[in-house]
Amino acid sequence: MTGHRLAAIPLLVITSLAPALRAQAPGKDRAGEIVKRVDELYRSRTSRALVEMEVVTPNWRRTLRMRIWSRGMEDTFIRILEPKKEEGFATLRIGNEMWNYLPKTGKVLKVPPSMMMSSWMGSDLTNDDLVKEFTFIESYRFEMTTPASPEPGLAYVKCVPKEGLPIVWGSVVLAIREDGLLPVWERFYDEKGRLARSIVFEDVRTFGDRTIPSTMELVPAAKEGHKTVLRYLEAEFDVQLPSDIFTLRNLRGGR
Amino acid sequence: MFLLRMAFRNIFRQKRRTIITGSSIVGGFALAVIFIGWADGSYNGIIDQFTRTRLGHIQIHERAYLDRPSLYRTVDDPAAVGAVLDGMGEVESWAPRVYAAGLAGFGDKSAGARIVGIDPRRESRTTRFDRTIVEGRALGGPEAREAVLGRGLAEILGADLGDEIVLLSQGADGSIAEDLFTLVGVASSGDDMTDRTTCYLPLATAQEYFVLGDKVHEIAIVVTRLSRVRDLSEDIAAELADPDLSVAPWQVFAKSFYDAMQADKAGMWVILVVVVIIVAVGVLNTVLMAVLERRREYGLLKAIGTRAGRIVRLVVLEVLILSAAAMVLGAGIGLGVNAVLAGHGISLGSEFTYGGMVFDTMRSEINLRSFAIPAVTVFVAAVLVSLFPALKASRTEPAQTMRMH
Repeated sequence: MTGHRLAAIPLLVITSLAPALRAQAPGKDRAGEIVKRVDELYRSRTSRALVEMEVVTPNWRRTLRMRIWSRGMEDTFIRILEPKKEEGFATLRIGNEMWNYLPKTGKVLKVPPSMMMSSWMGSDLTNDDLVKEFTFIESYRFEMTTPASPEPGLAYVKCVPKEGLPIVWGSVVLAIREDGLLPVWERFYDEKGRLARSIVFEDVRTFGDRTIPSTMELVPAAKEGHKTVLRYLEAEFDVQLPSDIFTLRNLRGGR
Repeated sequence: MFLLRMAFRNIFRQKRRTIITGSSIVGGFALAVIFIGWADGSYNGIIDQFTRTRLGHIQIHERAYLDRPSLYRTVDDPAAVGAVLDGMGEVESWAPRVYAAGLAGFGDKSAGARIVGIDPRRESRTTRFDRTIVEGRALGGPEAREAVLGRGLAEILGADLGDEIVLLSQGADGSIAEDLFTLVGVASSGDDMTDRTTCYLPLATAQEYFVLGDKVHEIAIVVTRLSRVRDLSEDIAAELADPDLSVAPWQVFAKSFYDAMQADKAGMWVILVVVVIIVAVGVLNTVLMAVLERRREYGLLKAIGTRAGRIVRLVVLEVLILSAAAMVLGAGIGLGVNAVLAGHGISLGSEFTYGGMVFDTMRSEINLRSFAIPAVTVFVAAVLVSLFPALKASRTEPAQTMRMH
């Protein structure tokens, strides 16, 4: 599993789809082709990015700026740069484990399994979204689908989890622009077929040799007035990272 | 008048029969009174303990809080609500609370926690929070940077008194809330689930931590009389006159507990009905005997020209007088026994738990219905029972009846 995601969260959902697909029907299956392309788009051994996260709720709206490092599928390190109050707050994820560094008290807190479905930094992303691994999502089946009112120029892939797996979604539909095979939106449905959340991909930008949507807007269906927008301000892929980034020592370093 | 005199004369003429019939009614009536008082006492004891030590009898929240609790659904001016409550005589005390979820950590251990901000002084007066402290002490002043953990949570974290607990959560303005709190006490509410998740903070500390200002999520109220809870809830709501607030009695906010109690009570009703039937059958038996034994007498009355209706009235009147007197006596006995049980209770020998609460003594209760239900039952049973032989007596052929009996 050398595949890798663009240092961030909703994207991993897409990249994660790919390996299972390739195993299923390489080259022949059109759904497979599409997801394979999308996967390759975001694959890298390492990445470093500057990301802005805007969280909107009916009660408040705030923007956080953070730096995100990633290595392979397993390791992620996030350090909050702004606002002032949260400066230095950091999250380290290694495999299925996750820790938060609290700069004010200087403490490191491990996120227990029971808190995995809780919000990360008050956003609509859960801690679980940050730790999800290939092995989890590998278990989807893919097929081309056509929604009620298809948009010209878009292709749609429906992803259904294989039976007997602890996956919260009933199905996931991915819309891709046929020209360039870039993702346009992704919709998550619960087991009763109701829309649970959607992600819209926008602002296609070129970072180095990669052209990808740089903005992701996540809207949970059940929470009115809530949304989380992630904007990639800078991104580098396959760069040399210092070896001590994904360590508890670095987490405690507080900078 | 003549009929009444005759009824009394009949009652006193056969003293032994009167005593047997009367004592059967006295016994049955007293038994039913004691049983109902006891059953009500036990239930209300459980309800009172449950609501008083944890939830309060009445709670005030933001309108939609009970359906969908949220950090943002707050009682914005608890001081104003408190002023209204203080002006109501039947409100014994009240306590404001703040609720939020967070992550508690100590050393390399961490666990999800339900953070509850309480006013230590008010909470102790209202729900006797101080009595749940099993180690250390209750929270100090309302602004102290102190925490009390449920016993289970303290064990999960491996924290001892004096340790610095870190709490991570999110403020009402969306910002990250993180701070250290000194563990000063460990609480055991009796409910393991609660104790595994709850972290108590002083109210003002919690309000600052969650950036809530003076707002709270809940005001728990304890009243002087449990039976007045529903009416009092409406009174408070009317007094507050705030459409954004809901005032709920425990039957509403502790619905699952209430439903469980109702189901249990339904079972108790079955036993109650059986007791009442036994009483009724006892009364029926003795009254029937007393009336049938006197068929010759009624035949004679008829023979000398008494009309049928009069005989019926005479018999029924006798029974009514007898049962009224018996009930007064039975009520006295029932009241006496219940008063003793209410005052001292019956020790159960070993304690038992119900819903996480520990009981070692059950007490009886003196209330109107414990007298009213048996009174109606005995009266109806006695009249119905006497009516049948009375009618039979009135219809008999005098000559034949007198020959046969």
